[in-house]
Amino acid sequence: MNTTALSSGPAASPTATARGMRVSGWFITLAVALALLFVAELSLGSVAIPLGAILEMLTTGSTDQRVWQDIVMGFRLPRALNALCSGAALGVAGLLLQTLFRNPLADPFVLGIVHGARLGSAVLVTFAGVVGNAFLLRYGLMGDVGLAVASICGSAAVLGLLALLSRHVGTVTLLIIGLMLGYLAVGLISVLMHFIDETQARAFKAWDDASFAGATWQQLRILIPGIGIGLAACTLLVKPLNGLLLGERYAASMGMPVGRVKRGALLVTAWLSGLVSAFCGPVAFLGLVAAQIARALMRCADHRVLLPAAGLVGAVLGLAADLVLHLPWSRHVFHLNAVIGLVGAPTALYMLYRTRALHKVD
Amino acid sequence: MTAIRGVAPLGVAALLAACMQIAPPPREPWPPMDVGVAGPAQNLDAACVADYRPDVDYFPQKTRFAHSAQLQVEYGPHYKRVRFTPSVATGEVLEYLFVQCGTPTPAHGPHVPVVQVPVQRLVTGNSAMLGALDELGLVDRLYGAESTRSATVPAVRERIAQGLVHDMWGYGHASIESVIAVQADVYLSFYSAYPQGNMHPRLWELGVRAIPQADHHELHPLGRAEWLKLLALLTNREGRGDAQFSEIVTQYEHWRSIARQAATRPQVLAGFASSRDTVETFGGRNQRAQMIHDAGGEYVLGDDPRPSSLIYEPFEKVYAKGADASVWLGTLGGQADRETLVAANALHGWFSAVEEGRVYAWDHGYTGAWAYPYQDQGMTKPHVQLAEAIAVLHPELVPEKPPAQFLRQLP
Repeated sequence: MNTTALSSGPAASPTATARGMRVSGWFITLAVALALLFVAELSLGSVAIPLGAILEMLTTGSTDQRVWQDIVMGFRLPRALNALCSGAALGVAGLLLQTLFRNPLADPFVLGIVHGARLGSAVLVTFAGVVGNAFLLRYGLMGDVGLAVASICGSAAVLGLLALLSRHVGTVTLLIIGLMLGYLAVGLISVLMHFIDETQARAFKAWDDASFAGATWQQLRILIPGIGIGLAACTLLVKPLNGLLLGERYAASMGMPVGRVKRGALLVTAWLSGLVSAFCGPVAFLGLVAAQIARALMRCADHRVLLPAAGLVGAVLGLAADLVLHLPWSRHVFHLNAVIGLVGAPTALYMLYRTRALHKVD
Repeated sequence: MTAIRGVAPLGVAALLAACMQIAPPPREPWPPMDVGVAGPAQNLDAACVADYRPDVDYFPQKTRFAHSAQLQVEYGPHYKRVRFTPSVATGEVLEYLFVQCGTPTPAHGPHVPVVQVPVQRLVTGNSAMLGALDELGLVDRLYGAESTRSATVPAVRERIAQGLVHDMWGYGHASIESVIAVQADVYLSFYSAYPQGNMHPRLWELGVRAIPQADHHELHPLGRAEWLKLLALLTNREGRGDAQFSEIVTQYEHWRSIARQAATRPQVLAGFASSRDTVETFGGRNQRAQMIHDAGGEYVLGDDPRPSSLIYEPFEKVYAKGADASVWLGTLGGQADRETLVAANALHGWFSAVEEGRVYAWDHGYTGAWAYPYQDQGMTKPHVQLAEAIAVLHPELVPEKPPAQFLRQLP
């Protein structure tokens, strides 16, 4: 395998010690940025709340102003936790996809996996409409679990199809296939929306507007452990993923169960992407950008470094994008995907320009 | 087999063409009428002038806009110039020229739509006009509506059942092809504060006389109701329009004087959570905010300076101001009860008005498909809405609660 397609070019680190220091330095920087952004997420918003009151709430759990407490503890804190965890999940999912497909542009959104998750949710919403709205809306937690399962199934279906096709087509073709599958899913969603009740369609539209806001504590009780399980599973994949970098044949000759490893990685990716889509809607580009930034910062292809780095960068980007949305602007017009797209689209264009593998005609 | 392949697409095309066909009935022109040198005794609402004389006043019944912040009319002897200055900051001023049929068209700017009045065929892309059409006795001139499913005005429903009203296939923004096919004299298009949502520039290019409707952007409910006079101007029924509007003003002022006796002004929340972090509502200078004020309430976003009928505000801003509002007047329509409202968006459950059971929607008589009488009958009945709002905000002032026409309390 051409490892330069995945790394950021010829490594410039003079010694292993210097590389280790740089990696440690970046991890510390990212951790500090994460902490600062988290505090900023809790402190800044359209309602001005003094930092002292926020600290009081975080330390004692309450404050004199009930409305402030509701806003910080009930709205901003779940949103920040969601942005952090979902950003990390998407960053890791993006990295896994890029390694599996040996494609620096692979990402849950670009490859249509997010649209698969949307389709799964739309099917559930339609089903809920048919059976009288009982399943999705009336039974709270059960509805949330159903949404997550439907979303994971949708993303797994698209991912499975891509995995099958990836054996027979090249890098660029696979991207185009992912794009087309995404369009197909969007078309099917439109057809489903045409036939369901307006109330359901409106609920789906609200869900479909990607955002880290509005996640309830009940949903976070599913999302955070779910992402935790997905990330824990990733740690089991670190060694095999590094083995894959040497080429599938070589890895197989060393006794690695390549097929099982790939299926496991795909399952983890579908799990993470589906979970995030279920509770945040179709978040675009974050996985791609996070993985690319992680590579650029760490300048290595070792997944022991890249996986936590992609997770950290994803969490930082998630929090930063959400913070931009919720700053006290005079007009309330930003959307999450628009903010991420402002960074994500140039990153994708740069990768298209820079990666020689993508210049080849399949 | 080859023949079947060749014929099949043609059959499908013919089927589709038949499905979409719009065939308006043949047009009978207004009869010409000699009105002489003295002019008509009243406006000609079903005739054209046969003996035009430049010094004759063909509009003895004239109206003016006293409450609308957006409409003005100026009369000539055989024409009317109507000026529409949107209250929302779109930066455009529109002018229309209504010319008595049978008389010459006066000089006008290149972009001024000219309409021969009285019009015979109307299409409306704004459902709010349906009730006004009925009140002015103009339903028989309606040939198209934005949605034939959502109409609740009995006379309009009857005409729809007769197959005389074409569905324009759109919510507020009808299909351009359908509008052209109906061959209406006037298309009452919906006016949006967002320019990309407006159809009238494109329709003017295509020769359709589109007259944008912005009643929802008025600053006062009476200003909104006054838009019925625009229909009167188009049909030369100024006398009937003035009489109708005068009655509305009298009734509205009556109820407003009752509300003035209120000792307190309860905080009133409005709108609904439209996404995970946004509330869809209206500006503090919009006519709906004025209605709350006239009913003796205080709109929680009353300090917002915008006249817009549709604004998006951050949830936490609305929550900070309306968390403890005692009444929620005008939440999301079509929700069976408060439980369904909260299920539609969990953010609704944050407000104490929900817990206390004081949530109201303007969706009495909901027929499904987002249709309820408030939408197409509410424009000309601000006095009825005001009475119902006062009964909710100040029940002590209304011993006999008025029968519900628009407002419904969510159980």
